[in-house]
Amino acid sequence: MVEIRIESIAATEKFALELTKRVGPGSILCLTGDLGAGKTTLVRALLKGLGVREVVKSPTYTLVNEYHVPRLIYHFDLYRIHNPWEVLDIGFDDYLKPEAIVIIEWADRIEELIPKGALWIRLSYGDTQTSRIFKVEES
Amino acid sequence: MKILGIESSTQTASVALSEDKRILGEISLYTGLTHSESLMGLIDGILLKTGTPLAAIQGIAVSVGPGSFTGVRIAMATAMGLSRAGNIPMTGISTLEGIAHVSADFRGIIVPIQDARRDQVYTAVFKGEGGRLTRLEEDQTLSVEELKTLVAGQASPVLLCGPDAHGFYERIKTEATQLVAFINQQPRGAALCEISLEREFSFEIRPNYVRRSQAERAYFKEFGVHVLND
Amino acid sequence: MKILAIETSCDETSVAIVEDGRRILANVIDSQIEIHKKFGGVVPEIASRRHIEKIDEVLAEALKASGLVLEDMDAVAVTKGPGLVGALLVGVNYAKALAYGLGKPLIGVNHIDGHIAANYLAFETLSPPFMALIVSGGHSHIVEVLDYGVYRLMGQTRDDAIGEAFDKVARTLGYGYPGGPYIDDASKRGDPEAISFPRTYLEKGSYDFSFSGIKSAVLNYLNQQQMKGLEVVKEDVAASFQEAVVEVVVQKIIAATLTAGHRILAVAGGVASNSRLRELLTREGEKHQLKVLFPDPLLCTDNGAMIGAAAYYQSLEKDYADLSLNGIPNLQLRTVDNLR
Repeated sequence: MVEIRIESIAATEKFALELTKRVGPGSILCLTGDLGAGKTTLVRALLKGLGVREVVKSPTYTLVNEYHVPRLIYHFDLYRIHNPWEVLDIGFDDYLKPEAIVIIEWADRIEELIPKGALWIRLSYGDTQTSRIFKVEES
Repeated sequence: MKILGIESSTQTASVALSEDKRILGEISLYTGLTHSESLMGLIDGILLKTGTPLAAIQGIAVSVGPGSFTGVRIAMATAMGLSRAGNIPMTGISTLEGIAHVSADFRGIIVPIQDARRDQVYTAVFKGEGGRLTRLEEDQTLSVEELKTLVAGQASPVLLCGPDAHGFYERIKTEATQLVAFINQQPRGAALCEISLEREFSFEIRPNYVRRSQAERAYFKEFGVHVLND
Repeated sequence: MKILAIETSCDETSVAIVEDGRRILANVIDSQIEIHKKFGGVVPEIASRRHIEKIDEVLAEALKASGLVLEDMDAVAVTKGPGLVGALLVGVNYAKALAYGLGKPLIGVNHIDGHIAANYLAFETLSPPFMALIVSGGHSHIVEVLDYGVYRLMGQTRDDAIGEAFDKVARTLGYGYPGGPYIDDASKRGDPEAISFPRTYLEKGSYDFSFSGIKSAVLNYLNQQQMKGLEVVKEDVAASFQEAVVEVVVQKIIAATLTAGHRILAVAGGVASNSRLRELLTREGEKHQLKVLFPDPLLCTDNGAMIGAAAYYQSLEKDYADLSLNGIPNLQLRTVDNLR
């Protein structure tokens, strides 16, 4: 497990850029942390680093957003999920394709459905208002 | 009677065209669930390759589940659109029955099975006799433990069939006595065409989800009333 | 030219028949709001189940209402996104098969385009160029409409959509779903100046919105009142929240309209029914001699007619879809900057 101190949005973006080297087709990235901890900011920076030019918003209502250019990426926001069956109902398994990069915010809601080998990033607040702590580990 | 069979409840998308008892053609894709993009193309393909205009189709046999809720609806929506446009009646057939039908020559009990996730399965029980199927149990959701009991309790040898039959066979074979064989069987459009010859066609089909959505189940648990009436 | 249009992007199943992009021959809507109210929000799987159950019936009603038959249609249009993917797929696959079976062209429409096009139905003489403000549960955009289907995005939300902010605050205050109408109603009985919530304007010259700040501010206020053991007057909170949001939206859209040099401003989307937005925007519009157009509330909600209107202009460009048309949950508005 690696613990990283993030002091600014610029640092988040730098971290995200490093992360892009570790993700590729078949990668599953799980993000957990309280509201406001910066999950979506991280995802936004990560998608930008992966070459996505579209505007990135959290799929609060749609549950999942998809990107096809330049690669296949599925971005989940499970904030509204309270039971793993709810994602199974919408065919969650089918998104875990070998060709896709899957990013899941609030992944702890469905921890038991996440396969081994996924990368977990747990975000928390640091000492100051703008600082954060990212704990990264592979399951 | 020319019938178009449409199946997309699982990872397999399959369409077929039959004329009475003869299957004229079948196209199946096992590439996973992008059925929304490919299904209509497969249908166009089978009609083109068999030289059949849509106007010549007299019935649409569609697989209505269980399986992926989204997959079921893709097939149903497609069938309903074609039905509306061409005034073609439809018949809805259980995906499990379609799977079992392929092995209908087995003399014994046929148990079609699909992974329903989290240690559950969709399953049913049929009796096979020289190509004819008789249904003994409704389509239902069971835990793997309950499946073992179901199979062990049969009076005749059991054949397990379905997309992941081998995996389940290995899991239950020790306790599920009566289990004699398995066959990895994807659902097929041709099976739907054949089954439909004995079915009534109409202009309305209903889904066979077999399981309610999580929100509905939670609601029912709390209020004792169903939110949707299907 | 008659277009049959199908809309199933969220919790309303709608089929409409529109003539030449302007005349509504039928607009049938089956709403699922009563169902999702029980869950405090739209449940995707329930929405999808309801769509497949109702779509054919809704189409039949649309035909009956118009007195036409399918063979009278020149094209079939359907919302391809954005929205809930399972819901979209019902409409997309039904429409695809319908178009195929009838041998008519298929048109895939962007739901946001639909909201803008609702104004063509409401105002027969409206034609580009003009400014558009799209405010709904999922979208907040300031768009310059250069030509039919040709847009320049001037501003959008950087976090929550305006309708989303209304829904979340409503929920926090204990109001049901959908929150917008409840807040609108409660605000009439509340004091918009009771609490001074922050107005987030972002940097100078930006026409973007940000509503997550006001959302947090409301939450903080409620928490603090609770901790101090002080009373909370829901109507005042609702009114003050609404005022803060509407003030910012109105300021930005008026500024954008003036900068772009337009005299006509059309508003679209569910939040366009908000009475305070209508009141303030109309007043500010008059002050600056702008014509502010608000469609009928029915056309502001999700409906097939707006899709049929947008589709008409696409058909003029022969912007047709093929059999691989798919639903895209986060489809973006195609603008001159990102031509997609």
